Amino acid sequence: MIALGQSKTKRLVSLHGWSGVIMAALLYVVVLSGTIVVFGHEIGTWSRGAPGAGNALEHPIDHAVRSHARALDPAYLDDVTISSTDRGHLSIFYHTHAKDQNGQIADKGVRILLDPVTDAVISRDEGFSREIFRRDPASALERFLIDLHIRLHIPGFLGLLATGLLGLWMMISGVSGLLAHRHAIRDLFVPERPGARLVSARDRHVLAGTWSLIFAILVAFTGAFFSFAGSIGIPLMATVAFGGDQQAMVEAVIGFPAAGDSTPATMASLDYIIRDAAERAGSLPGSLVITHYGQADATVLTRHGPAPGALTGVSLLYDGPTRAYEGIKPFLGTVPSAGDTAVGLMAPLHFGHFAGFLSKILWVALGAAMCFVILSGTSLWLKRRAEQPGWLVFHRFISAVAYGFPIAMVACAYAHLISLPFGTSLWWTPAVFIFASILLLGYGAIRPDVLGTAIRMRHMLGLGLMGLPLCRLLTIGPSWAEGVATGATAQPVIDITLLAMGAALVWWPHVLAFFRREKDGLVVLEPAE
Amino acid sequence: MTALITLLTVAISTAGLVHLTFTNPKRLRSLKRPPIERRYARLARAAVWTPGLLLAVMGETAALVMWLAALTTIGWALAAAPVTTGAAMQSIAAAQLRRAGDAAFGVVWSLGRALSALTARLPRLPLPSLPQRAAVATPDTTRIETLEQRVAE
Repeated sequence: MIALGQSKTKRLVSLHGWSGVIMAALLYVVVLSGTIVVFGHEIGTWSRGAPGAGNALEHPIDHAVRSHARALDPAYLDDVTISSTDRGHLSIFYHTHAKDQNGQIADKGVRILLDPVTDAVISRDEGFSREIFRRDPASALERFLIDLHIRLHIPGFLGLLATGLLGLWMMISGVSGLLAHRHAIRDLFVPERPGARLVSARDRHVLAGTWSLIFAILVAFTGAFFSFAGSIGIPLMATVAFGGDQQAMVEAVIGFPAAGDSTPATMASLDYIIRDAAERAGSLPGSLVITHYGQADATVLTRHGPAPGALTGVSLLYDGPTRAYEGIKPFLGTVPSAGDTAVGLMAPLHFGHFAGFLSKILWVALGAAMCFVILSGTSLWLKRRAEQPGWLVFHRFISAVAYGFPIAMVACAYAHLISLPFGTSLWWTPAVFIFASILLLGYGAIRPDVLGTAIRMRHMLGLGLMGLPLCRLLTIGPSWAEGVATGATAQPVIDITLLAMGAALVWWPHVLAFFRREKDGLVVLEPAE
Repeated sequence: MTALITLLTVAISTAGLVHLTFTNPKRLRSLKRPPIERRYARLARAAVWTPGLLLAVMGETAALVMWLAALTTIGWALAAAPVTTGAAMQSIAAAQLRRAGDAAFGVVWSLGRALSALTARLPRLPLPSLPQRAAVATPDTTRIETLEQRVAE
């Protein structure tokens, strides 16, 4: 690739190695949890025990929105967000913007959950959005896994800062690895040399790293963007250009219409707007955002998913009182721009949810490849230092993390399923994760035989995965037949996937031996690979 | 439709990738295998890249991104494949590429012949008349012939 001198290459290799090893455990946690939450929505449906549900916005909603708005504090009508939940309920969040206990601008208001057919109120919650949307025990597992990836459960902006730095760290590792490897393109098709030597471990790492480099950098960059935007970008821009007023900055950058005529005005029919938007965009909106509800300057924004073949969705803007269509609203600003296009691409390229199941399964494959790169790189580093006793402790630690972290996630899934019928999953899910993590780290630390411990933990993980479908069936249901009958295909699909993954992990040496014909028929596994 | 286009383009690119992977000279040297003739290398490279270019030209951005993601994953899987699996895949891919190469050659050959047959049937269009150049005066060779006679004498 680029011919660098020997000393420069050595320095790059050193930078690459140290940068990878220092953050290996945290990088692995963030990447693996991110790989899993690509299917976060489906995991949420699977772990709720709910039957399949349609889109609540298919039903008339205008009457319900008006009647509840009349009964609320007018301050909460600053913004209204309307969406359909995973259970097919209608969620209406009337809110304003206020500083939370951390001093950050957050949405504060009242969220009402309704049955879209009967308009019966299912629940009513008041407070900041972060508290309201976390109170549902049924979404405990999904939220736990997502927060683990987004902020490592570190409170405040420090969590976002941590994951943002990890994203940058990963980019540095990727670029330094590419520069250090002179023949990256020529070696694209060169496999691991046989013999389980040190050079074989290097080949394995280089091959996986080279092929997955583009998307590793892409996903790391977009992830760092999301983390830094919330923790540093917005407060910094607000301080520099808006005198610290984050709300004013967000409204100016996003392009919300400035406060105009605040005289009371009757809102147009939301049902008409939804129908019109569905015709124009080709699909029902996923959500509606109404600004200044009940005022003459009210606007209604309908958000739609990507059209077939497109990466980004579209938002349509309507005048609230007159229901006049005002055009497509870019994500940033009021007119299409390169910045809007760039920011609009961040979400689909990071989450991989732009084309349904196919794009998600590809993103899971990419995430698994990145996990392999992290572990194989760490394994190579430790193989080179096998004689140094100080690194043996780290070897045990990283082996324990490699299998222990997924085992802890499986354990917290069991805790969620068992405690959900009692309504205590919000407490038990994180508690069991922490307990299992400490237990497994301790187990890995005290066992002298790293390879044997890794094999035992792999079997533990495989058996744990295979037991989850049965646990779900016995605790929250529904059965496969009920699920398919109501259109909830997430349950049987995820159950089958868990069974297959568990079986593969338990019988992995035999699977490998089928593809690799090692001389003595015994496949030697690398710990934590 | 996007899924179908993606799967089709990935399948075509994978076929090319299989040939390029298992006939790669450096790969074969590292595995201490004899070199394999790369007769269809150009066709394989075209098979790898053309679907992506077509997707870009057609504006299928979602399919393009998925195609690239699938290619990197499949490429890694193929490159990391053990020798025995690779040898089997290579023979299958080589046979498929030979058929594809013969079929592609046959299609191009037939198209060429059909095109020449078609153009032969078309009436010759009158070419615009070129301006006549002024007649070049024929040089007078009488004097030369006289001189040659004198020399011959």
